[in-house]
Amino acid sequence: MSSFELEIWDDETEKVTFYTVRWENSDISETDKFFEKSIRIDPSSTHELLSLVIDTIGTDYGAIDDFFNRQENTVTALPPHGRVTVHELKIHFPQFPLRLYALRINKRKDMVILFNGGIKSGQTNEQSPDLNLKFHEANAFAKKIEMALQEKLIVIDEASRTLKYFNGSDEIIL
Amino acid sequence: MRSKIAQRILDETPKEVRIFVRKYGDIVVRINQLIREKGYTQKQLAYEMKKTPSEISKWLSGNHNFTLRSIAKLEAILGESILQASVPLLKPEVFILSLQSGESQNFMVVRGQRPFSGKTKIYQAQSETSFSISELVEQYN
Repeated sequence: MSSFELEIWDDETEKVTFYTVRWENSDISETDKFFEKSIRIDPSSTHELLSLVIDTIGTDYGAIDDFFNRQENTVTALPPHGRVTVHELKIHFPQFPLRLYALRINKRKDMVILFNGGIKSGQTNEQSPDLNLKFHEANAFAKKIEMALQEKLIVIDEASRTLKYFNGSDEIIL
Repeated sequence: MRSKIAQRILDETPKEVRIFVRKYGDIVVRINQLIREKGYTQKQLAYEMKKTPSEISKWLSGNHNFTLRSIAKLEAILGESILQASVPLLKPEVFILSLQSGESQNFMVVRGQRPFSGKTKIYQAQSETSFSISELVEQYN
């Protein structure tokens, strides 16, 4: 897996600091790629999903279970728990087409990493080619991030509700 | 700092969409909270609502549009309020509850609706805020 940077996507909401990932050779984060793409395809669903992220989760409730669907993927190479949990942001509207993948840092309600996502075009996520690819990609990101947390390559700064590199830097490249 | 792309899309988002999403979120959180508190299983809830467990599963997983009627039915079964709607007054009534000690310019006030008088009705208040006298006069005169 190529290197990527873990960077703040939104730290202006009251309850959550949102991070995203950006490939080192890219100018734009994966979450921004997702929103740029989805706003062209389905503006109204994109508005709703963004409002869920920023208003409902970021401002009103924090990253509580009610808004995260469990999408578990077993990763045997990740001791000691042996698994990483990537979530799908859950918007409670029938037939909502967009899926955005996320990782709650240490299951906290105040720190979330957003990845990319896609449109559920098939009956299941697996039958939606674009989405399936992004799900596996999100898992690869999540696995590397969780490993870095376990090895204390990145640490949580409670005071500022941010992640820091082990040397105290805000620039986190994994 | 917020992603410029997120900010741009958020700025374009119609106000009513943001209100709708937030209210929908409130309803979902409230229903889940009540179901947990009351210890209902999906099967029990399905029985009470005269629906199949799969229909209830759809409700709770978001594959159902809540209607006022379905929310009322849930309220009846769970025995608690899910939606808190209030009728705004044309001119709000102001009830002075107490003077805060040492701050003679400040009153503790409660905005409420009629019938709202006497201590027994105090919990019908909608909000409780401190105002200075000048703010109070400006707001309510």
